[in-house]
Amino acid sequence: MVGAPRDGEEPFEAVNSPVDFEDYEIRPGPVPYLGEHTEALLKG
Amino acid sequence: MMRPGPLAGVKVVELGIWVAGPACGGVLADWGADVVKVEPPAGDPQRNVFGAIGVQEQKAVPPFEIDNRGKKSVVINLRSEEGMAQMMLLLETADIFITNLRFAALQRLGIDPPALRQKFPKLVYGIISGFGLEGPDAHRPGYDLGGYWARSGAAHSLVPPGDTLATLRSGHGDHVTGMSLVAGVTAALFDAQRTGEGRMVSTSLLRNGMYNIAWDIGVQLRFGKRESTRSRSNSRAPLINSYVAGDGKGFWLLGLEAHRHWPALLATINSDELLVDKFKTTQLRLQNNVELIALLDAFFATKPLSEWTALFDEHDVWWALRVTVKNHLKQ
Repeated sequence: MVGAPRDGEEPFEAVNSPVDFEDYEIRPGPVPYLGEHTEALLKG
Repeated sequence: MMRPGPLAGVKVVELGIWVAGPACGGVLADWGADVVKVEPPAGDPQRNVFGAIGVQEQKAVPPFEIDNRGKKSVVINLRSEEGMAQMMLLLETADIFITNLRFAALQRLGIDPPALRQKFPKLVYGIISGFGLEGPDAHRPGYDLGGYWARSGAAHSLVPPGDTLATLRSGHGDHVTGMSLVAGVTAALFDAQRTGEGRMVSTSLLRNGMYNIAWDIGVQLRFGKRESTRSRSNSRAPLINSYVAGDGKGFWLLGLEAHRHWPALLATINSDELLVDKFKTTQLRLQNNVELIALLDAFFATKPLSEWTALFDEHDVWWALRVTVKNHLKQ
């Protein structure tokens, strides 16, 4: 389980992938806001 | 030295809603893929899942958070020409496309597997349906409860004859099915990188429900009867059953190989009441299972769990704690 808060948010923990890979730490990023990356990916 | 995730550099476009599709994308992101989640202007309805069942206040939505961390969210109106052009732009550089929209909706939008496979021959197209892509139920909505639990027989398999079914937990089948698609699309990606040719990969909630109760289905196919579902007090295998210690804490015995584990349990409990002919063999313990389980219940009620587990470990009795989610997290 890994916390994935963003700045200013309360940290939280959640279950991630049940598979582990040697020499790799799963560190998922924060939960995206709706359309957070629209501009960067489609209009940038 | 830490290395990048095994899917680093892999580009995934996810058109997923609710749980199963986003669960697949979530695991791919955990493994290092760059996952872009395409959402309609109103968003993935899972963002408001508690509201959908009438809960008024949503401070957070853990079911959404679990499956969507680490992704990028873009809003595209796929019903507009501009939106579809934006979608094609994303897919041009994608290695994998995953979706759990219904097939008919994908056809209406013109992004069904044949359409996208023709446009992007190297693309791996992963699709999750409720009941498969063919047959009379192909276009029916599924959800975890309908496709995985109810239709597969998994729900029925949990209920002893004559008993009633409890309300089922949500998301079990969705997560299993999402993981199946993870396996499928990564295998297809491996193949696409060797051959230069993508392919459609499909799975369904129904198929995963069937796979998970494959023992029951196999017994039905081979012997024409239902795999036994019994209450714990009537279990056919008293040595692989749940019990409660004297302090109310629950545990499981894990003595599947009864002939191997029975002597260890005898040494642990150390009572002449178990050294009788009717419990002497595995077959006799099966015949007298109700009496044996009641006797074990009485023995286990005499000591707290910590004392039993110390004895179990001393005598090599296999066991596991039976905990609540809350206690699990405390541990």
